[in-house]
Amino acid sequence: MKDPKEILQDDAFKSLQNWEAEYDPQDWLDMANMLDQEENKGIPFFQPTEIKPKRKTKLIILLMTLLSMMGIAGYFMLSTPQMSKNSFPTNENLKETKKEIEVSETHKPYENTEREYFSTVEGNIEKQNNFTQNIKSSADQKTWNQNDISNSISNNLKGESDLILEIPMDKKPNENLLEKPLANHKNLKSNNINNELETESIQEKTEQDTAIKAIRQTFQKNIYRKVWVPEEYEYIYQSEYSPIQDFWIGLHFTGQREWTQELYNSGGFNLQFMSGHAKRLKTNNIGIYGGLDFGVQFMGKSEKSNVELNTTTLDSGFTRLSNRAYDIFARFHVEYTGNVIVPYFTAFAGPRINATGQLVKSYTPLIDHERSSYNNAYTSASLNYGIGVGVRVQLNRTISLDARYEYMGATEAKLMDLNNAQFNGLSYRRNLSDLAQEYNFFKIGVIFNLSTSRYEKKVVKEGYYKETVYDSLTIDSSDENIRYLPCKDLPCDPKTFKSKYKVEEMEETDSQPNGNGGIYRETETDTNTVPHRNRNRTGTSSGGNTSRPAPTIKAPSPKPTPRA
Amino acid sequence: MENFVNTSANNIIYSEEKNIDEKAFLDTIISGCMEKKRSAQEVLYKKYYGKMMGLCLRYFKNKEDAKDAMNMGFLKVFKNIHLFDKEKNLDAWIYTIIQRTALDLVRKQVKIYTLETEVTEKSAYIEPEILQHLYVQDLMLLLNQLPDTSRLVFTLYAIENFKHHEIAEELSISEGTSKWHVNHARKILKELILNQNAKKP
Repeated sequence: MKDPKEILQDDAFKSLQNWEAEYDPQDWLDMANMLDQEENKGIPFFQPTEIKPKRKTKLIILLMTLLSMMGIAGYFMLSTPQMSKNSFPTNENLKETKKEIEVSETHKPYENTEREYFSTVEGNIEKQNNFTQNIKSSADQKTWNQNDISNSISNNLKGESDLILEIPMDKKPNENLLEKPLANHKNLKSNNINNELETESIQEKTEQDTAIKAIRQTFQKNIYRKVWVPEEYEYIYQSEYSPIQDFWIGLHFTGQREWTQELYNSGGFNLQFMSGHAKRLKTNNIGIYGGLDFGVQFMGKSEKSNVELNTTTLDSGFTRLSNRAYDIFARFHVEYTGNVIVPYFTAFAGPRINATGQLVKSYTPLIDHERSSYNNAYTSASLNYGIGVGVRVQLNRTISLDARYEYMGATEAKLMDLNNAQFNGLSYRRNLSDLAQEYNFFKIGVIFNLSTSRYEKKVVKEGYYKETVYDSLTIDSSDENIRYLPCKDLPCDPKTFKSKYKVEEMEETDSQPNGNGGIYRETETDTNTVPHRNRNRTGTSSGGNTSRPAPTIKAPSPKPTPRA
Repeated sequence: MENFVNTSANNIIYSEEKNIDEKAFLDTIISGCMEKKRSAQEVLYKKYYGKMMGLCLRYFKNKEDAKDAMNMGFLKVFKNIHLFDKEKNLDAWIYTIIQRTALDLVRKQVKIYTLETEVTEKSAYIEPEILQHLYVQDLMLLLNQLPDTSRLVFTLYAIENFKHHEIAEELSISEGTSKWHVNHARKILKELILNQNAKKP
């Protein structure tokens, strides 16, 4: 409850509202200082102590942004066509220069460059000489003043920068030519020693600048390297009548006829395993193949002779002789494809084994013995060789019908004469005859194309070494060791935006990248490196084809010798 | 009271004459301040120093802080004096500028925590006899014994006649927090006043 006598406590503090503090003169001094600082404060941007930290950070960021933008803008402004014309002449500028100095286009570019450079520098030096003479003559008359000097400089050296800077910089001038303007420059300097005019310093400075401009030209030097450009292939889909790409088998029935006699006319079979590729002759329709030819010829049988077999039951049977020839030839095959009918030529050579065997066979099946036995009665061998021609009719991509004629020659060999063989009841008396040395073969068979590839890998462009620009340097013509590089990690010249540095014996390393003589192959997956197959394997390998030695087992330590 | 006369364009001299109009006097000072006359600025500074310093001392316990706040406020006054409309009250204009400046500074110094609880304002009464023995200096000492936040809120509420919602808006706190601080300050002040009165012989 409120006592009526009491008053609100807050009211007591209301009196503070009009309370005035006692004046302190020091406060005004501080205030005056603040006012002085405020009045002396310039642009806030240049009063970093007066700027709040946050605002200062913003100002710094803004300043950096502005500077960056100005730098970028300056860079692009310096790279304007006008600038390019003065520093790095374009092709159009080069053409204009050539017109001015009337250099024939038929000259080689290198010589053309030298001529341009020489003419330009000489022209400048000549202008300087004229300018010097003008100054001297005017000095004798004592009528030379500062304006005249300026006018003369501007008149004599008008267009000088264009002339000098139009020197082609992508071609290196001859070093001897560089010495000439240097010598002229020295002569000019010696002539000016005797000049007593006040314009001497201005003249020397102008000469020096001009001479330096003329001498200290830069030219670009390109370093080339050779890289291997691999072959380019084209994969062509194989048609039905295209050459057999890889592998084929031929199975033939062979009719053999002797060339001079008809004693051993016979028939047999041949099995050929051939392999090859049409691209060997780099033509589309020629296929060359090589392989082995296994053949057997059945060269006749003698008449049957009844015999009694040596069995417990004394079964009856018969015996007869038969001649056979076994061939193992190495065969060469070349064919012209592209059509349904494929003519071809073939050649072969190899041994032939002639064998005569005696067959003993019972008429009835035997219980304790085999029904027949075949024993070799005579064997001889000859070296055969031959050639042949034929045609292959392609039924489809896989199967072809084949027919061929072959001529075969053979060395001398003998074989039992079946017509004159005499059987004495137990065995045959050997009666040999000479085999023919010339044969005719007629073969009919089937060829199976077993190639899996349906695409032909065709070379479109051969591999070659290509010269590419490895590096391009801007080199000071006064000293070839002084080079100008784009600013990256080196101290930068703010005017040219290039770094100038001097190198010693850099040529070898520049022209031989990677220490590989400047020539190395460029692979598809990894350019500028050595091919994968030549890489040294390092680290662990998960494959099994490692040349690492297998771990060896440590030999057990020798057993201790028992004590005596 | 000291009066001033602008005798020339460049000089302001003191005058002891007492019959010069107050408005003319202020116009003279304002004109001098606009021309950045140091003497005019000093006169204006001295004229409003007591009241403005008293204002700042209610916001700051430390005299140095109060002086800095006041000087910064005066700096704004001098910089923006040309914006002042002479038809309006100069006292209120200066008072507002310095109060705003002081509040900006004290807001940065004092951490105020918001209370979520509902607070009912309770008025504190005290016997008039007790208050009769309290002078302004005593009241200032009592204020300075309050916690910073409570002192600030109580000053704004009880002395500066701010409403609770205005205090809440000004200090970015809730009205309940403002009320709580006022009640808290009253409670402490009452105890302090009673204790002080009890100690007196």
